[in-house]
Amino acid sequence: MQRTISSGKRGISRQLKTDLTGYAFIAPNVLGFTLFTLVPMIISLIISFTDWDYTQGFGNWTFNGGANYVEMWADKWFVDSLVNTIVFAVGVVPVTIFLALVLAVVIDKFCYAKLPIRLAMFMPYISNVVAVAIVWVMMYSPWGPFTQMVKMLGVENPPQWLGDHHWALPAIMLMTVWSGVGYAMMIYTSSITALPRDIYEAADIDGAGELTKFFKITIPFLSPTTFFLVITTFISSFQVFAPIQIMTRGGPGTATHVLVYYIYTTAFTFYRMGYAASMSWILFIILFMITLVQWRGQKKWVSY
Amino acid sequence: MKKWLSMLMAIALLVTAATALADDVITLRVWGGVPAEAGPQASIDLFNEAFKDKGIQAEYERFVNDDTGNLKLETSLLAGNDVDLYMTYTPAVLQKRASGNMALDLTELVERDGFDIEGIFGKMALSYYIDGKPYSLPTKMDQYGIVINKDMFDAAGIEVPTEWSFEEFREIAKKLTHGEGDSKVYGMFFNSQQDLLYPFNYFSVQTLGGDPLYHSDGTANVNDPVNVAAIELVNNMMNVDHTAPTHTDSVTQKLSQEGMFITGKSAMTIGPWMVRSIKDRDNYPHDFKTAFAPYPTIDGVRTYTQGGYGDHLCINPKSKHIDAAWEFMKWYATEGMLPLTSGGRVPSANTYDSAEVTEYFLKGAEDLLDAETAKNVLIVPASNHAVPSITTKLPEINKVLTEELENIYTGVKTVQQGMDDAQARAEALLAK
Amino acid sequence: MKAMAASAARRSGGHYREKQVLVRVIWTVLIGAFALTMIVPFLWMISASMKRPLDVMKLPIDWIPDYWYPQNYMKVWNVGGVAARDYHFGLAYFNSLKIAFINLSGSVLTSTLAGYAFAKIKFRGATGIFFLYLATMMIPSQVTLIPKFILFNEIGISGTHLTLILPGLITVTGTFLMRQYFMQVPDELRESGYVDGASELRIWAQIMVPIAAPGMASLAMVVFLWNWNNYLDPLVFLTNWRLYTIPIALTNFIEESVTEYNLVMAASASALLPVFIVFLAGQKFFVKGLMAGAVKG
Repeated sequence: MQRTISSGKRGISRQLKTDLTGYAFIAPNVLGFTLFTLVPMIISLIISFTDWDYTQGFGNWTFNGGANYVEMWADKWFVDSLVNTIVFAVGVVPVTIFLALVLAVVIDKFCYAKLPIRLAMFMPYISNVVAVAIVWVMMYSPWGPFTQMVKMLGVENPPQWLGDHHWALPAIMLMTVWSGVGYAMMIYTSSITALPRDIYEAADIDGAGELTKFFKITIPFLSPTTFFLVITTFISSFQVFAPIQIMTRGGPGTATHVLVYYIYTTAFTFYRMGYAASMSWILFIILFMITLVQWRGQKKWVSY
Repeated sequence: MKKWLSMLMAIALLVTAATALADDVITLRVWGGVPAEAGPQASIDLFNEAFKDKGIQAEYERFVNDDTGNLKLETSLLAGNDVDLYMTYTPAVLQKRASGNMALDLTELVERDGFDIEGIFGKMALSYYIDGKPYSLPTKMDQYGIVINKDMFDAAGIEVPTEWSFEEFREIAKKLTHGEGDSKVYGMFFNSQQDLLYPFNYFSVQTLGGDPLYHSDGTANVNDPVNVAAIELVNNMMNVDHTAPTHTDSVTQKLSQEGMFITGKSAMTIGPWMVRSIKDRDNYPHDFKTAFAPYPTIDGVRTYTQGGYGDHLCINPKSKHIDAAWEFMKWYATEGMLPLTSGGRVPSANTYDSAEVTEYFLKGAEDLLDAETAKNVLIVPASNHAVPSITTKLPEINKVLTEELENIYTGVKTVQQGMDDAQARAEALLAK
Repeated sequence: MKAMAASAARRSGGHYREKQVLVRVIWTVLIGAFALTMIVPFLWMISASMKRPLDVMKLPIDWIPDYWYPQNYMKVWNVGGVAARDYHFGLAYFNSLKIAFINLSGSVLTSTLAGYAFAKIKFRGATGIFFLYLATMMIPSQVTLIPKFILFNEIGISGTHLTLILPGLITVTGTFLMRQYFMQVPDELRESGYVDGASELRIWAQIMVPIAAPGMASLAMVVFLWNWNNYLDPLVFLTNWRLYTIPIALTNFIEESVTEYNLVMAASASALLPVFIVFLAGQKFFVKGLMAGAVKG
């Protein structure tokens, strides 16, 4: 602002022109965004301060101040879900992204049959989520490879994976990493194809090794993509729902009870939309903080 | 951009054209949770035939009777007139829909036509009134029982019981269990991955009445000795006697009644709502005879019989065709639901002939279903049904129980401890 | 040291090449084995789609059915009169294709436009608006579902495909993806356009879009999949079977007491064909983008 004013009349009009161009480019997007994303979100914020049961009709609610926001901290389901969700996301995100990066680079550089391998890696992402979940239920059954492997190692009473209070969550995390890595890898691959080859050639001439090139060129160059993946994967991990619903329904006990599963139950089984909305907004605040920290931090590690 | 707009408009036009209905004939939209081919379509066809001269036709829309399916139905009800009639499956949900103006108060129509609800459905129909008013017609009788592989009972020399205690039930399961590993045959299958609350709703109710989880004043009665005994029974059969697959096995192997009972891997199972699968010889080939027994009681003394009304047919108050919908409702409840009976749904109205109901119930599987016990246990209504009346925080209490039962069945807590914890948590929920 | 040896080896030719081939073979085998595990659910899906219902959940898994039952496909598609009734799967297939392709084209266009603007045009408020975009991803869709439904009802499009198409024409994730993609493109390219006196729109269309093709291709794939698999939105927003999409048609196979996974899987396997086509088409773009980069570089 200050700069444009001090640089005189021509400066203002140039900035204004830039502004208008920018707004024109984002206009269709912003229009749809405001109407179909922002407005429903604001409505959900309002609902979060009410006791709304959606079967009673829209607007038929009582504002209860911040009661929902107070109640949740004494709610065992909410607290357990929050803890499980954090464990889940913190475990899944770094592993998925690191694995995806390595796979994308190695496949691009060192593999034959790139297309079939990429397609195979992408299969869990495109297969019906029900099929993926059921197959993993079977993999974790006493006839599955995990139990057989543990038995071969001499363990007499192998854990019942999905039926075990300690193993159920890690079991679902493993499945999530495995089925999510193909998507992240594909996003990386599309960025790798845009890597400027000349920089690598220059590095070759300087005699840089593969690892040096990976850490000094590839990782920094892909950092905007990594930034994208970290943020979106964090968000999707915090919102994990479908595999939980199909595989364990939050059980055994509350071992795999995650936040969105509870939000869903609260809204549609308990008919407490207001409470569900308030928990969603707590989830929002957590994700917002994480994103904000990364946003601030990106200047240090994301190079554009 | 222009192209876009015209494309969108074309789509909009298509959509309108597709949903446009003929003017002169009223087409009712009837929503239910039963797959169309399991009877509803045949029933609707009968209706369309009978009412085509009166200018009323009906179209069936199936929703899956789970959380998302009911959500779909309820949002459609909120929106308005895409639904004329629909089914509600539990009293708790009926209560909600009635209070949320999603179900029409039928008082006026009933009085206008002199439709005698009590006379047709019996006194028990009054238990499903909300605030003293009828918001639905209870079309189906939910009277279930233990499903029995009669060939296995015969081979073991056991009579199909007509009255039994928990202890007798447990002993019979022991006698029927044999084999190991892949060829093991279990005495019983509790189907717990589907619903963990069967022991309360089917066993405890027969001693405690329709609200086994509540005292009559609405406070929590979760750890009543009868409830504890019912869970003790299930836990013993799963984890001590190994006469039933454990809950963990049921979950981690996604077991089903079809997969356990119809394939002959269990001699008994918890409920007869898979009669349709029993009749489906193509998909579930088997040749043994299936019989039925009433649910066991704690000490062999029956105070109540498990049972009540289900399939509560409601009218959407926002429907534009309320009179036509009412015509459909009366027709369906009193004469139209026989095609669903062959899928296992027993009508509740006394306008049906009991012999005809039995005939439809057995239709196509006369050699696979034991007529005598089917009739006595599932079709002829008992006089002492345990009718539910309290629904306060029921979904939450059910969830508490599901968790605590998982803790019990996986050995994390003892039965008494788990039930006491559930009681404390239920009390806390009800105190809110 | 090692690197110097490598470049020395390259100069000496054949020896280096042999070593490189060996490295490639080892990596291909290792990653190929990992990739093979990823096909397991797909194989299971195909296998289950060829079984009778009771054989589907049998453990241990029979990968090759003892009893072949391709009738599942005939039931799903209502061919040959073996189905209990017409599930209208063909219609659902058509509806899904229609919606997915409209939304794919629309959202790739809007995302590429806005992503470019957020990345390269220094307009005021860009960061603020963009952050607001990001923020909306953080609310789970389960709680905005009913507000959305009410909104559609208010503007009079409830029960039509517009409830899926209008919101589907933009995607926040897609905008974010394209923004990050353009961030990687050096500014010099844009400046060279300015020197030639081109307008922003021409720079976007003639310089930026070709470079962004691989990103657009992966976005297209992802958008296609989101729409193709979207369950909760069409479930709630559509109320007439004539308009249903594939995921809603799949609920036909959920019986009262049991889910007919054999039919679910036959339908899901049938639904994979367009996904493969979109993926393979996208792969072509990857290669094209590669070549475009080579030319520029």
